[in-house]
Amino acid sequence: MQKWIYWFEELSKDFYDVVGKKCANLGELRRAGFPTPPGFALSVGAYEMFMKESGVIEEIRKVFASFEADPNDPADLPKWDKVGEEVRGLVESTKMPGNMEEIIARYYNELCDKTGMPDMSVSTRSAGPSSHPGQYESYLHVKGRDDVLQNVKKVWSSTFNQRSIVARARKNLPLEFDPIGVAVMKMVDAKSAGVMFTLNPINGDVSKIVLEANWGLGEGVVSGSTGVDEWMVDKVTFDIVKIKCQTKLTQFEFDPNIGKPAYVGVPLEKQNAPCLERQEVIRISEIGKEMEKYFGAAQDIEWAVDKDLPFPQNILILQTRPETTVSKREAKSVTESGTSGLDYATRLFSSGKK
Amino acid sequence: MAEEKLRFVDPHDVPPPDGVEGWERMYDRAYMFTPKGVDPEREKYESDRLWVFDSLHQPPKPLMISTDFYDSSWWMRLNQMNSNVFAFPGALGIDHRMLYGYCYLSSIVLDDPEESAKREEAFRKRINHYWDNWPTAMDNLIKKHLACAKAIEELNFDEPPYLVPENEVMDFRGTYHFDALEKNWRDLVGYYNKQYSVHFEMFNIAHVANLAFTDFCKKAFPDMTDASIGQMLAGLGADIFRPDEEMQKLAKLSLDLGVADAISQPGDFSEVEGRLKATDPGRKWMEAFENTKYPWFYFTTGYSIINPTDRYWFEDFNLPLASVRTYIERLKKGEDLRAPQREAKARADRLAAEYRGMLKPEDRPVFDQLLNLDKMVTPHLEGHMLWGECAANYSVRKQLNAISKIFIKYGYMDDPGDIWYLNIHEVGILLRDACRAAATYGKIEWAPSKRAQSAYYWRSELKWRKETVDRLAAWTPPPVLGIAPEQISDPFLIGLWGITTEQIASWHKAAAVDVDQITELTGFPASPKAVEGVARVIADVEGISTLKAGEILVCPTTSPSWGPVFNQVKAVVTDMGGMMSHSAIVSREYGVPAVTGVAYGTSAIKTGDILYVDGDKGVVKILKKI
Repeated sequence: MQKWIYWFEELSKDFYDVVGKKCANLGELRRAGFPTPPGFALSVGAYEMFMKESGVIEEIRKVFASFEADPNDPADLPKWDKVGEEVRGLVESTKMPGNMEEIIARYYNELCDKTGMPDMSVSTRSAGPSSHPGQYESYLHVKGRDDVLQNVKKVWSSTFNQRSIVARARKNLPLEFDPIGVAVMKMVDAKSAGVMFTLNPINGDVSKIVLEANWGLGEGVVSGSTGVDEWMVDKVTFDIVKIKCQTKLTQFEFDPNIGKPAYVGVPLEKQNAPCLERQEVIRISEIGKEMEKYFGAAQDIEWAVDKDLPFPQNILILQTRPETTVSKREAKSVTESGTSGLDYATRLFSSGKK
Repeated sequence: MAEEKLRFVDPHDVPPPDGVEGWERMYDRAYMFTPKGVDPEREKYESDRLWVFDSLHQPPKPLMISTDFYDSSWWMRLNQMNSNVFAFPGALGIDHRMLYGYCYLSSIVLDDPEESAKREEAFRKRINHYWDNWPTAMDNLIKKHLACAKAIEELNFDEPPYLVPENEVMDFRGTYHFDALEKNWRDLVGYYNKQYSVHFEMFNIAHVANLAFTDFCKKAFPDMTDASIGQMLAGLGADIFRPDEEMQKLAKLSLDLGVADAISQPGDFSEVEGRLKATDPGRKWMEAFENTKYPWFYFTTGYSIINPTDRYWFEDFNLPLASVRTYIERLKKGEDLRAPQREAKARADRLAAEYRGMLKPEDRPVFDQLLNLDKMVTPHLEGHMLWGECAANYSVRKQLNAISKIFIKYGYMDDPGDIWYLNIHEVGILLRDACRAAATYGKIEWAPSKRAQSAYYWRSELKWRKETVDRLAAWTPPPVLGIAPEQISDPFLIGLWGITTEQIASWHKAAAVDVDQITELTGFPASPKAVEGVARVIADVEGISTLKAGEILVCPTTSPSWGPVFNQVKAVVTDMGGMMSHSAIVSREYGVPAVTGVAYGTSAIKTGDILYVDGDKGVVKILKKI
């Protein structure tokens, strides 16, 4: 049987198709020595194995065989919702075939042993072979063997959430099957977290790094639902050249009352305080610069600052992907070909108004 | 979309300080704003433009000699270089006016694309010729400065002998020596004008290179900070630092020769000299000291505009001695005196290489050319001061002292310092009157009341002038007058004086509030890093002695001579000056955080206030007011 579960350390960029981009990149980062949380990945093949060997795929086919709705008609969206719910229920109630559960549980136990934390909290994250940001689902603060197994299935079943099946229907792809990888990694208990672009996404200035951050988990930044802090750092001097500190009313955090993360209010005294210290901003930027160099392209990086670890070990990279929006735009050169320094200076002084 | 133009007080409506009626007669009529009602077109021209107080070049007191020499330099020679010598296509001169003894400037832009285009070809050809021959031209320039200084120093302003020497009479020369004094004064003014033509000969075009590189960087990297650009040009050295470096060498030599203690022990220069001349190694050191004097002792602890309070190293050897003593102490502690500059240079090269690597490949050749140009010219932006300012002003000051002796003898004044209250035309008039008196009465001692004919007038006039100038000096000029254009576009105004559209807006904002209410000031991020510390507000170089090590210097602006204090201070805040101002360059050279061009620093900050100075962002916060 083909190998379907990997420690991050075993992965690299060559595994994009095997485990999905996110998992492969995490492996690549870890191997290159960037600070990432430890964990393991279930391959795209694991999804296939689960679906086929458990037989659930046949039941799903049956559901879709009798289903009819127009993916382009907004009026039909409730139908897609409903069928998605039904299929997700099927997937999540299906037992994993063979010794799959045992093997995943063994990896989880080993991860707990490695970090010295029994029943450690992990996140289970989706990893598609191609990038569909925000399409599939990830689950945070997953704890203990049974919960891990259940949440792996929940990640798989998120390929049947409404937006995923509608997307497949629109592209005429098979509805009953969309293999993705799953990352199971140590949950970072974040003081603050956010994203970083290794260029200024607004004007394409490649000599700058831009950080956006909020208290708590990074989802609070990515979702764009609350004010965030922003830093712009010079990639060469590591001077902080701009700071925008906004009022942060909510943060995404583990809520012990409901046993999962949720949006909670930011304590008053922290609402207007910057959520990162100067040295953290600079260290995160330094890592960003190294990552860009390593991957040979501008990156869009998710990171977090651990609550309990000391600086600089508290800074962890959760995810990276090539920055595509700005980089794709053809950056214009400053000068036309054949321009000399003298031409440039002459033009600058040529008319009073520029 | 036309933005609302920012309006400041109209230059014709600024009320005079008390008790200065008639102040205009002390100065050249050409400096004055047009009186109301006599020439509506000029009056409107003055009302409709922006006038910025040039605190960068304001002498400690608005004395007539200082102002006239300021006129010879900034007013006329800078403009000649832009308008008539290098044919700048867009930027013409800087217009100036004087208000109650304070000089205001306003840039003149050639707003005619056709004429501008015509000037382009000449401009290209002329600046390129200088850039191509920069080192040779620079050697020439220094020679011209030193030759002018020497020519001025060699002019004779001693009172001539009462009888013409016999041999000259026997040779049928028919000359009378007193006539030569008036001519010598005219020559001195001519040489001084030449000094300032040479001063600006390569100065403006050096700024062109600097501004072109800055502009390129900001186009390539829209968020590039002035601080980063400044750091790419740090550590290049400049002639103005040479006197200080020579003192480092002398300090090292004293340790090598074993005479450091003889220098460090208490006593003024003559005592030190006595101790040294008693031993062989001491005499050897003194010889080295003598050989160092020319030309480095033209250095002054003073303003760039000539004025009576400056002290030059040539005049007072205790000044270089103090510098040597400091360096002996630092060398004894094992300090590497050259390390800061070396590190700044290494960092500059690393930064430039990294930014270059991020450019599109097709932009790299232009970046290289502009960076190399800027590195070639940057030492001159600061270094010119030793030649074009220190040496030029020293020689004139020396002669003013000589002339004042004649003026005292002929009864115009009792105090040699009074000569500073005469303008350059009046010095000629007084020399002429002295000549007349000597000729008429044979000797001034034989004249009625032993004075020249107009002495009574000048004695009372000078008394009034001294009181009036003190009143003018006590007045605080508004930083800005008139109406701001929507966009400040003159690269000189931006690069040299630090006047930007944003700066004007922040002045406008600050003008609306009481200075005592100001808790945050913005300026240029002139030298990186952020620090907190205690403020020491110093109005002029006289106040330097009150500064304690580790304080934050807050001052209107600095000139070369403030150099030694940069070693001592924790940070620097100035009212005036951009990224390439003296304070900015020297702060980067010494690695001291600095924010320049905050306008209201010396008025809003009091000595003892706790400040936060962020040289990365160009922000000064008053954390605690005393």
